[in-house]
Amino acid sequence: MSSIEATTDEANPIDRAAAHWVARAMRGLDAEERAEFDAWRGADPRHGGSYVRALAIARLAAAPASESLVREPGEAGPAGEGAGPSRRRVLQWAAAACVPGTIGAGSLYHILGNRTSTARGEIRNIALADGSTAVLNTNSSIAVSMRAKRRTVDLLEGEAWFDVAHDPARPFEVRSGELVVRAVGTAFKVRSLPEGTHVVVTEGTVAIHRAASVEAPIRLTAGRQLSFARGTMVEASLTGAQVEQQLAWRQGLIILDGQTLDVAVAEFNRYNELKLEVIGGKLASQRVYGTFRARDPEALAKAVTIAIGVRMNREDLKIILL
Amino acid sequence: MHLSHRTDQTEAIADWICVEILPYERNARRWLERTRLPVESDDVIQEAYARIAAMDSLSHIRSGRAYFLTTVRNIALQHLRRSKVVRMESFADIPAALLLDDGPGPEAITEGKREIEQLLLSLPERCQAIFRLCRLEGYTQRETSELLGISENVVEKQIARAMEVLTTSFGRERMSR
Repeated sequence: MSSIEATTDEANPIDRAAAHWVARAMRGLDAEERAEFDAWRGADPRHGGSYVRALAIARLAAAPASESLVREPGEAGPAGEGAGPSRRRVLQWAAAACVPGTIGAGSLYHILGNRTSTARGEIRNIALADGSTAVLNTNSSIAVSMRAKRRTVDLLEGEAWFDVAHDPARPFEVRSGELVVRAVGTAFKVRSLPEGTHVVVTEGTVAIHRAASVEAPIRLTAGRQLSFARGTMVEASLTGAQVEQQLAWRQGLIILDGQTLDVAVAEFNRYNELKLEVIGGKLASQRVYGTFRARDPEALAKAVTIAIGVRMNREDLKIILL
Repeated sequence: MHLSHRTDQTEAIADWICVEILPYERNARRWLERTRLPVESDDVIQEAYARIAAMDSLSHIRSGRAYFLTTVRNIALQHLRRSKVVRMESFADIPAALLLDDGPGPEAITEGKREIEQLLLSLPERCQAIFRLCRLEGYTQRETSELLGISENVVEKQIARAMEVLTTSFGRERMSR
């Protein structure tokens, strides 16, 4: 039985058809093609499977290059591989074939079109293709697009901190709801909230404007924050300790310096399946202090029972303070 | 509107597959091969992807890799039942653990990218250059055609050709060794 070996040489017809559909979909299908595509996809469940796989392969191909891509000619390639065209040679080919000067060595960049998400309680460091770093907090999601003239990150939900690689020719923009936060080389965090967006700058300066507006952008410098809600932007200064507190999540920590218990509990609940619940308005308005591991809600519950002298009820996946 | 919603969903699933499934496809194929079952591995893999494509939500899947490998195993088992040629007890011997404990970690993604890169290197230079401009540098097919002074039709054909090589070779053992 050699069916497995055989398929490597004889190209699979379904995978080939899927490849053609992906190539066509890249430039957009017209109505007639769309109908043809739907008919093809509906004809056999394997067609749909092969198509999503082909789309995913196209994504993977578009992700930042492995080392062999950025290697220059003359350097050793992957063991046993012939010398294929490097980026520079692709470039030379492209330049020779057409408009000299329209693309130079500095103007070609990799595009990373895919999305990255974190689960509840997960914090992830992501190296972006342009040398910038994104750190995603719990339950967050970004979509990155690296283009020749601009770098765009959509914060789809949650919270992320960005350390932006300096590149004046290609502004780095983070879009969150109505707001656009634009940077050249700086560090800042953006949090998407149900009522709006919160921005904290940790280094350098960012320019913030509303996507639909023609007003001059607001410049926000390091150590300052901006809250946008219900159409209004409110700026404020932060102390060093407050900035540190705002970004403690990058180390998996929650720093409480006088937040009310209900606020503290909501913060812990962002990270954990094990939920904290406070019963009683007086208890909820008690102020709490301390540095906690975000993934350890029981530590807060214990601290509260000791410090405030309340009872704790533990149910399945729930700690109730009363 | 229904169609565009479905397109978005397909895109989202493709994104997820790119990170969670593709890196482990080779594993799954290798496993199928090792079992020496008389099933068509391409059919099994395509069906596994079809099941993922048909899902409304992916959020309940904790590990894409474990899910994919289990799905592949179940589909292979179904195909086997359908083919009615093998004694079932021989299949029962196949250790499920084999599926779950020999997998690489996140470096599998890098590995997958490297594989794509090597497949691209096997293409003619012109085809590679066109594919790279469109896929890696983010130019549209129209921009690429203008940039290179060739027709959009040629660009599309070259991209289809590159995609064909990728889809029919990715994750499969190559015959070279």
